[in-house]
Amino acid sequence: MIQIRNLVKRYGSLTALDHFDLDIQEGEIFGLLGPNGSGKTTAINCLLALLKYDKGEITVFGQEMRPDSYELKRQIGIVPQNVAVFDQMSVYENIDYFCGLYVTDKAKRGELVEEAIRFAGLEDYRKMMPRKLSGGLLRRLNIACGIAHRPRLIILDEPTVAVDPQSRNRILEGIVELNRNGATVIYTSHYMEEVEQICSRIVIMDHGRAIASGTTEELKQMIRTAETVTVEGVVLSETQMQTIHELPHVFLAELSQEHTLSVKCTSGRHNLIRILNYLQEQEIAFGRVYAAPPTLNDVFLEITGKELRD
Amino acid sequence: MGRLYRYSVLQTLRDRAGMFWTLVFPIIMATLFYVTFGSSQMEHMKPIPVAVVEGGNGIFETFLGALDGEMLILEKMGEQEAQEALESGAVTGVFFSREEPSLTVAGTQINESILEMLLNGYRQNQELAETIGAKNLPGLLEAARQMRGQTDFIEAIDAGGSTQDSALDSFFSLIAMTCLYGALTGAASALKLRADHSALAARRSVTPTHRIELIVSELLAVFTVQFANICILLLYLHFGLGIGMGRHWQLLLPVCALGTLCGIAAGMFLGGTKLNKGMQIGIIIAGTLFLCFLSGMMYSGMKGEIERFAPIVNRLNPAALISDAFYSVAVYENAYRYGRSLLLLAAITVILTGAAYRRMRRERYDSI
Repeated sequence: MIQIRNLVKRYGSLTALDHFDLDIQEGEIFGLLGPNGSGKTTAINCLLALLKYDKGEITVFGQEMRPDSYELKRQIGIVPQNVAVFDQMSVYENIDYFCGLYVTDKAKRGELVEEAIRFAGLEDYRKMMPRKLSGGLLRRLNIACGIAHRPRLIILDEPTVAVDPQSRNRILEGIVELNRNGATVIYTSHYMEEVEQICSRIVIMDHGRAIASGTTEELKQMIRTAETVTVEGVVLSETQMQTIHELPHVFLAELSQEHTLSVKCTSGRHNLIRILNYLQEQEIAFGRVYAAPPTLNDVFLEITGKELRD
Repeated sequence: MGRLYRYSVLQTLRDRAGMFWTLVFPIIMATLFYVTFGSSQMEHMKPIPVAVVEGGNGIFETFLGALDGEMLILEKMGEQEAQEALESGAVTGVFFSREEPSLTVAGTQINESILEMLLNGYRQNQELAETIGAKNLPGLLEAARQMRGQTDFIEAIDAGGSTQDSALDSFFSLIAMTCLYGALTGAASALKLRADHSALAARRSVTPTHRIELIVSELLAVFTVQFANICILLLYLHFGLGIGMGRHWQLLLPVCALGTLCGIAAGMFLGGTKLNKGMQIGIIIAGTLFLCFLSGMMYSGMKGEIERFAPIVNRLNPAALISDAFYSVAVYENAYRYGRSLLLLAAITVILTGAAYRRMRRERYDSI
């Protein structure tokens, strides 16, 4: 459905996209995950033919995407990172305005606008001006304006930034519902939990490059970490740390200044028991203990050597 | 297109800051001008004291006599006495009533210009009368009737681009200011059109609506609102404050329309630059006030001074062109000056609109 090949975008000496490739299939919720400044929004703007690029090819629905590709644009809905609605128009008027840029038939547009209002849960706010809406409601209006015309492809650029948990959950549920109704979704975020929760395939970006791609499971299998065991409130000597490091499957053991021990293991079996046994043998006191499978942050950490949110 | 236009009109009308500067502020200013000037300066001009040195031209003396008391205060003097009166400032000018009448003045102020116009008018009409008299005697009567009409004509006109009525200078410059304040709405529109300026513009740019449709609907909408604001101001000035707009007031509408478009285009052009919004508003307000200052909004003699020393400035200053066109219609009834101002204003507007369109039409950007 969407192909990006060898895309290069430079801002002077800064390379924002460095030979970036992307393939998105119809029906996916595709996640673009990366820290701020990794090139996600630049990639989206190139895809939408808003930004000039130095090199590469972009095709959408099998056709080259250009500024005058109006028929292609008709099938795309965009929810930009910053809320982009008219302050001087009500909720209803904003949705009607943007829907009308795609749908000229008045009766059909009326139905679509009502549907978008229901979808975003804005029934009680239709006459309200945007400045009177809370941050969460404003984000929902931003989404409603982008999806009202029932696009085949929906691009959501960090739609949950600065949103309360309740609104965030509602937005994520809505995105899944849109996908169930047939829309292909491109979802950019630096919140790995969201991407992990809703995306069927993910590309992890850093410094304008796609450093890894696949399903969540595929990405996690790319790294050594199979399980991370965490022990809080523990005091250990260097010798004891060395012994833990030498336990089976352990490839990294770190003790933070807050006395939290983090042990990364290559296999997910019996690691917690082995560590607890050792602490018990040595009569070392400890607080909360838990084991967790790897996260996308672990994937990012192992590939780039830094945290996703750095 | 119609729907986009309606929504753009709605947005512009609901933009409180924009409506304040383009409607409320000019009305407040007009009211303040009216209160400041009062009605005294808006009354007819005072008669000008002049000396007449008799030299045997009875027709000319009769002509001057007809203006005595109403427009001139005549005093017959000998040549030496008249010269002394002129030097002492007791009279503004000295008319020599010879076969070829002449005038001596000591300065270049408005009253001196009026006396000069008066003499030129007499000479032209004299030639006309001689020509008509030679061919058609009854026509001479009509020519005489026209000469009597000089009083009304001279009362309103001068050579330097200003009248004695300084209040009118200010009011007409205020109208020019309101037209040019269209730049504020123009700049706001640019913000909604250039994807590298706002997320809203970027969002509109990725829709299937043609770029030209977006630009034209926006331009028409802000023009409609701004032009309506000007019309409201004109109605307020005329019916509320009693400012005369002349017999051919309809001719003022093209002036307002072009002035408005000129302002909007300038604003769109400026709005298309990388300057931040606050800076743009600052430049528009300061720039407009400066142009209006040059056209006589704060000091009524300014336009006349510029006309004397750098007339090109008056030809290139949209505010001066607008106020001059207003004078030409409301005061002078001078078709040539009206046409010239309108043409120059149209030329400036076309250039600015073209430049603004070039800035707005871009669809793909180097950075966003």
